[in-house]
Amino acid sequence: MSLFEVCQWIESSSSSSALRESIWMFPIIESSHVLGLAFSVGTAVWFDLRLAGLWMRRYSVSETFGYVKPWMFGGFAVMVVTGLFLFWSHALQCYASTYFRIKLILLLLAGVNIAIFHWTIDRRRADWDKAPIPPLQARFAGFASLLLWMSIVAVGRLMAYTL
Amino acid sequence: MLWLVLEPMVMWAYNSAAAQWIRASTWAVAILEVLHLFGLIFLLGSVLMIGLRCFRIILHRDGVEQVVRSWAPTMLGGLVLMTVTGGLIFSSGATKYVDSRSFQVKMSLYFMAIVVQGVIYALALLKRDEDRSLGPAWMVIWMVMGGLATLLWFGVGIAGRVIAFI
Repeated sequence: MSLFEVCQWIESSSSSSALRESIWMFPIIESSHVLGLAFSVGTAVWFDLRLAGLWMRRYSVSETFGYVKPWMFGGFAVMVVTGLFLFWSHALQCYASTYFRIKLILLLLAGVNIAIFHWTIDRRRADWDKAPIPPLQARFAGFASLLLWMSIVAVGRLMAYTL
Repeated sequence: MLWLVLEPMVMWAYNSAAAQWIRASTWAVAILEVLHLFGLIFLLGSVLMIGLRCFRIILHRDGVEQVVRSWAPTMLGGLVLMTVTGGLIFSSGATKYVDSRSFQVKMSLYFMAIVVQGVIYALALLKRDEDRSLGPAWMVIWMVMGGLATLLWFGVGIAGRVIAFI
């Protein structure tokens, strides 16, 4: 079964039609997606800016992460679940959308950026945790994350506009 | 009565050169919507941090007034970006938006949120020289104001998204 056929099967399912045609469900899911976005990206930016050495310099990187972590991950979980529902309701249109593909690639890159940060410079965090300006690699990870998440938001909005 | 006051402004916005240019452009609204969302993220992100500090959940080392002042530039920046792009999006479809119930709810919440946020900022300035030995009354005031501002601004975000549907 090809990816196209999977999307075709999803879109023709009764659950997908029910989501699409519901007067209330779709707006509720969309609003929850934006709410999740505000919680996740709205708090992740402060950690990214701290890594970049531009924000919350009086707080250590660990402290900053500890403060934003529950809201960032909670918002991200809401965003993923509601995003899956949105995909489920318009699977074929998403499949055909260039913006959707770019969004998936950017999400993958954001994940790779986090993994590289975590497996390299973050392992020596104790050495620079309290430094107002973290080392170059950490600052790069912060800037890259900020740029990637803003791009994901932009592409996601453009995708919704063109569907 | 309110419509008599608003109608000339709505018609002026709808017929303005900027609105006509936006309507004629294929991508202008999409780009404005992206910038509107960026503004919303910085605004809600700042409001959330202030709100969480009001409830003593995060940033315990700083007083509420200091947190409010620290996050004022990003909050204001987000608000200005959201307001300017929102104003331009509105102008492009003013006659349609003005009749939308979701838009009316959004704008009511928006103005209430600005008033509450203004009060929070004024309180923060008033308490500039205070340390963290605030009395219980102040703690309650911060919680009420912080909670109210967070609810109102998130309400603005939700109502804004619902405009597309209802």
